[in-house]
Amino acid sequence: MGAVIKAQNISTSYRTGFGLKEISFEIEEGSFVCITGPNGGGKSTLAKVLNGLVPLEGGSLEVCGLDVSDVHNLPEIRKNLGLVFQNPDNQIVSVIVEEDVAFGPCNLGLPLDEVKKRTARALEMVGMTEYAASAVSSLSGGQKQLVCLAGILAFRPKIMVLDEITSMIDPVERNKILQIIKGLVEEQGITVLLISHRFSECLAADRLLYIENGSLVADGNPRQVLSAALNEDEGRKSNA
Amino acid sequence: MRDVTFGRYYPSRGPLHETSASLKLLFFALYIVSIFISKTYTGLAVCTAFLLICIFISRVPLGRVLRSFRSIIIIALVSSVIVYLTHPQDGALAAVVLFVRLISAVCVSALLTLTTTPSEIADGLEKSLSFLRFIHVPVRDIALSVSITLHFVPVLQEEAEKIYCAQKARGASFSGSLSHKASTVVAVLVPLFSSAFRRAGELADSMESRCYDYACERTAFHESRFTSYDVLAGLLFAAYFLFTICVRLMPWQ
Amino acid sequence: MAVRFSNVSYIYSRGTPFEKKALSDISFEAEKGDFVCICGKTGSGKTTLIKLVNDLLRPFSGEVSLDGRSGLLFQFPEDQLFAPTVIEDVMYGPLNLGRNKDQAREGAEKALLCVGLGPELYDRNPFTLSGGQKRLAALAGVLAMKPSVLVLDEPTAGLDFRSSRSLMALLHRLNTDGVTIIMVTHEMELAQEHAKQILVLDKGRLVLSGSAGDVFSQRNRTVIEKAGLELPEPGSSL
Repeated sequence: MGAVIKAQNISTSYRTGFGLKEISFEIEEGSFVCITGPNGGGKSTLAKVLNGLVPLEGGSLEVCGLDVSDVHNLPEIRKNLGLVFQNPDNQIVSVIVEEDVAFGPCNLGLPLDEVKKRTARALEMVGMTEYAASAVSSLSGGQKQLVCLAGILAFRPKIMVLDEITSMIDPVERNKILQIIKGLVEEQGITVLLISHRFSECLAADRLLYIENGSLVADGNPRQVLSAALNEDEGRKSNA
Repeated sequence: MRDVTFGRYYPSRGPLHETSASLKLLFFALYIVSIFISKTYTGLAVCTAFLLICIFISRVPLGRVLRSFRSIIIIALVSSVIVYLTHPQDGALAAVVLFVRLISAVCVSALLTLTTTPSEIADGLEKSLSFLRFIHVPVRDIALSVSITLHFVPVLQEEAEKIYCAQKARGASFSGSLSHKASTVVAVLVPLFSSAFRRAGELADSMESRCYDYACERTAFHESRFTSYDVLAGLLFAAYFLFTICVRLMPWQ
Repeated sequence: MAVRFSNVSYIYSRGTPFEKKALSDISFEAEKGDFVCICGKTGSGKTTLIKLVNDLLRPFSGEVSLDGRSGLLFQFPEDQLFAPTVIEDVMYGPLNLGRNKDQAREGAEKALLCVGLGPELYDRNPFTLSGGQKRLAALAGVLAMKPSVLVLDEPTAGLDFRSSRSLMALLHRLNTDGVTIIMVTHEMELAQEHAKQILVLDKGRLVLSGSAGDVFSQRNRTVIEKAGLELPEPGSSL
């Protein structure tokens, strides 16, 4: 198993927040990595850079061996690295669940029976098969996020980047989503990058990246990274 | 939790749901033409009867359809009264014609969006307008924009209510002086527009990352085979339309 | 007694086929200077409840009594900013209350100072602020009206750990200064840490009430889980 993401000194300046300042890291295939840090610090920018939504201004970034800076690689990269955002209402394009999940495969121009097969399989992976013909408006927030996850799983991606997907979700549904994510890592071998503020989610991961002011300030065991961050906070408060 | 009919699909398996979307779009357009052709009580009665039959067989609860013109009924009544009072000759007929046309138009639009998902409408539009591709009209993008607009109308409506609530809690209201009302309108519209733009940006990012611009023929999720439903629907609608034209051309009434 | 709900019920879309009972027979009291947390999942009636405090809605039955003025901060309040400058937005509330421009300006500046936003931001366009600053500006807009009861709906939603901590510290300061706080949240850890009184809502009914120690005991686990919530984790803040 090799590295599916290789970032070397990547930089970008984004209109709000700090952008990214020469960040380097590698992500191994099949790993569950959490990314955390203060708001505006660059986490969402990193997610968008990985998917090619925001251009790189410096350094090199490879996703599944493909250079992100080469525009011709983007379609292939996006098939392999899926992105899910915070607000499900701003991602779902269709009124019926299975239509939305099929959006991705339809965009690829796959034959209809292949589209239907992938859609069914994706809904099965998130436990939403019985809702395939339901109206999206009848779903809860957590269920809508599962539909968004299914929409990405229909691509059969190697990597999924999840940007604070449980921010707007109730506690019980949040846990369900976390269990499903863990299942995707353990059973399907999908590499997951989970951007989150929640301790429970940070601690569920194998590795934690702490991004602040555009820089990668810590990278390692979640518990250790979080303790160090908290101690620094205390220290800063007592010095202030 | 607001119940808004416009833009909200009602899942069911009635004859209207089963008819193919491109045909429904065609019928929709022709129905609008038919209510504008009809200028007599008889003609309007025919149009209204046809609409009521459609609503009845649609398997959509009547309440849902009726809610669709809840917001327009005041405007329709006021306009009709104005026409009645100001019309030089037959004010009553003119008023009734206006009222029925407005309500029917809104009703039939609601019926369309209740029985056809925005995605089906998009696919249907794409099929019907595909000949325009030869003159480089971006048919696929237009069709998807229409579908997404329909999808977001209730979402933005809920958001507007939420913003209005928040501003009301700060003393905004639609009563009082004109300048106060104006500032309330601004206090709701500015955040609403800003939110709409932000949503559009997020949606665009999401669609792009889902390979929307993969630059090839998009698979249509809905097969557009014409079924016996479509043939039957076509015949019935053609009969209705011809009958409307006949009523218009008849010298009686 | 700052806020009292006596047997309050609320029904949406009354008399239509879409009728929905959002709240059934809710009774509770908050003393002046109290810090109440209302816990419930989406659809439990918590948003309806806070609208009733603020008179945005009138109860179908029962009575809501409020001593003084209430200020309401909805979820993601940064979405409601609209004025060309921060100071004008914060002045909106006091102006609507009938204050003149000078009084409103003074009140706005005090409120901005209270939330920690300095004079350099007064003339900035609110849309150019960071997410956290926007939220504080929205809070200032409510505080400028000098409410005696402050009602907040998930004030820490979407905030990172540090900002969340500092916002809760601010609420504590306000509470110490005599503002009664009613906070709706599904973050049980926050409720446990800050609330003097906790109310748990499940499908429009008040199923538990009391202090944190009373409500978050193991014997209530089933009720809390049925309400779609969880007991706060013991080691949750490292």
